[in-house]
Amino acid sequence: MNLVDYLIVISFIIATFYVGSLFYRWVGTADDFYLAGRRLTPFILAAIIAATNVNLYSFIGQAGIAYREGIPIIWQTWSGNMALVLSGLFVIPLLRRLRVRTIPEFLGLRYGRGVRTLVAALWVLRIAFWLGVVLYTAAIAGQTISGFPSFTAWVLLFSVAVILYTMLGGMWSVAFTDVIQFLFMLAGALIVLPIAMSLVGWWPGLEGSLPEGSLTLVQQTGTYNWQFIFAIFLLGVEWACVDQGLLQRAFGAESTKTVARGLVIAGIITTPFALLWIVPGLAAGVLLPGLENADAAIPQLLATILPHGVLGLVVIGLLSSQLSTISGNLNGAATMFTSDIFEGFLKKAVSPKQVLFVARTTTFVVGLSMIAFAYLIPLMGGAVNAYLTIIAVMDMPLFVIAIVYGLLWKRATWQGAIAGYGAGAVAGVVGQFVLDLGFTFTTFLTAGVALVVTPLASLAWRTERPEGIEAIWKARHGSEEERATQNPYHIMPTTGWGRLAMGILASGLLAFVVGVAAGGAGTEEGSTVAVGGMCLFFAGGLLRAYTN
Amino acid sequence: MQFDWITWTIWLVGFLILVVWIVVPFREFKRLYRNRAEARKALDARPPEHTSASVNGGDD
Repeated sequence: MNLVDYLIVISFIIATFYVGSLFYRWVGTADDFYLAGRRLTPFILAAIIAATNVNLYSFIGQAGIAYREGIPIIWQTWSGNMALVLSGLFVIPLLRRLRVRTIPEFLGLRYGRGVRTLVAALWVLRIAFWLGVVLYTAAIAGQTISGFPSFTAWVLLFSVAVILYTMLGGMWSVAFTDVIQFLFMLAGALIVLPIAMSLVGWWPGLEGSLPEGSLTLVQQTGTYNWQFIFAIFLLGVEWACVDQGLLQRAFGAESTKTVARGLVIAGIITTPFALLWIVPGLAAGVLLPGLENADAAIPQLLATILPHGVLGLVVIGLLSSQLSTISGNLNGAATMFTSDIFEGFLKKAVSPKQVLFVARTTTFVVGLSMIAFAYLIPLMGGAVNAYLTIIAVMDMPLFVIAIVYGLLWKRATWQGAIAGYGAGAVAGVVGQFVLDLGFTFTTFLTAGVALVVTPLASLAWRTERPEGIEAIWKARHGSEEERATQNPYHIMPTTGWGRLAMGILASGLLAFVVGVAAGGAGTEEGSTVAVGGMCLFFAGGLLRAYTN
Repeated sequence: MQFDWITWTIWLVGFLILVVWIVVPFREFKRLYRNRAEARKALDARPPEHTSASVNGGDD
C-alpha cells in the first residue's frame, strides 16, 4: 500500500466514525440502543444481516480454502444461507413475537432467572473472545496486504472507531454503518473478480489450469466432501437459531413478517455474493501456486494484481466486513450484560438513563476485552483453532436447550437445561482437547450429550413450570402486536399460495439432500441437483415470506 | 476469445444487488428519519411535563 491507499483507508475510518456517531441523538431508550427501536425494514435487515455474516473469514479464510481445496468450501456459506431461510420462516418469528432482546432472555422466560443469568454471563465472555479472534484475523490481514508490520497499529485501526460509534449510537449506528459497509464490501469484491479472472484467461483458463475436480461442488472424498456439506448445514441451522449477533438484528425488525422477509432476502443475496470471494480464491490457485499459508492467498493476490488507489478501495471493503461484524457483536454483548445481568440481577430499580450508561460502558469494556483477547489468540494455536473450539464447546448445547427442548418440549426444566448445557460443554472440552476428535465430531458429541442429559435431568428433577412457558406456546399462534396492527404472520401457511410456497420449499430441500447424497455416491449430476434444489428452496422461501 | 458468460453473470448479479441496496435501504432510512423528526416535533409541541420522555414514550 502507498500513501494514496493509506489516505483512502484512514478517510473511510473517519467517515464511518462520523456517520455512526450521528445516531447518538436517535438513542432515547434502551430499545433504541439495543434494537434500533424495533423499526428495521426488510431490505435494511437483509443488508445488515449479510454484512454481519460476511467477514474476513469469508474473504480470507474461505477463499484461502478454495485456493487449496477447490470450490466445495462454498457450501459453508450456501448451507448457512439455507439455514437462515429456515430459521427466518419457522423459528425467529416465534422469538420476535415474545419481544425478547436476547436468547438468555428467552431462556429466562422458558426456564427461569438462573438459566438466563448463567448463559448471559458465559455468552458475554464468548462474544468478547470471538471478537478477539475477528480482530486478530483483521490485523494479520492488514499486515500482509499493506506490508506495514505493526500488529498494534492495525489492532487500533480496526477497533477504536468501531468501539466509539457503537457506544454512542447503539443499534442505529450499527444498522446504518452496516448498510454502507455491505455496499463497500460488495463493491470491493466486484472490482477484484474481473481483474483476477482476466489474468487466468477467464473461466476456460481457470477450468483448464486447476487440478481435476477442483470445480466439482459435491465431492465424494476429501476434507470438504458430501459429509462435510451435511454437517455444516446442521451447524448452520444451529447458528441461524441462536447466534446473538444475528438474532439481535432480527429482533430489531419492525414486525414479525419483516423478520421472515429480511432473513430470507439476506440468505438469497449472500448466495451469489459468496462466488465473489470464492472464485478469486480459485484464481489465486492459478496465479500464485505453492503458497505455504493458504490464508495469505487473497492478501497476496490483492497486493500483486491491484494498482494503488484501487487497492485502497478494496481494503476498505475488507475493513467494512470486519467493522460490521465487530459493531454488531459489541452491541450484542452490551445488550446481554445490561438486559440479562444488570437490569434483573445486580440492581432492581434503574432509570432509562442509567440503563443506557451501563450499556455504553459495557460496549467500551467488551471492546477493551476484545483487544486483550486479540493478543492472546497466537498462544491458542491461531484464529481458526480458537474459533472452532468455542463453537464446538459452547454453541451446540445452547441450541439444544433453547430451540430443541425450549420450543418443542414443555417438560424440560431449568435443572435439565443447566445439566444439559454443562454436560454438553464438558463433553466438548473432552472431545476437543483430550480425545482430539476434531471440530465436526466434537460438535456432534456436544449436541448428542446435551440431547440425552437435558431430558434425563428434567425427568429426575421435576419443578414448577415458569409463568413464561405459556406465553412461548401461545406465540405459535400469533401475537397481540400482529392482531393490533392487522399484520399477521402465519408460520404454517393458510392460503393456496402459501401452501404452494411451502411445497416448493420442501421439494427444494429434498432435491438438495438427494443431490448431495448422489454426489457422495459418485454421481456426476449430484452437484447440479444439489444446486438446483438450493435455488428451488430459495424460490419457495421467498414466495413463502410474501404469502400468508 | 469467447465471452466468459459465467464470470460476467456472477458479476452482473452482484452489481444488481449493489444497485438495489444503494436505492432501497437509503429510501427506507430517509422514511425512518422523517418519521422520527415528525414524532419529535409532535413531542416538542406538548406541554413541558411530557417532554422529558423519549420519542418512543419512555423506556420499556
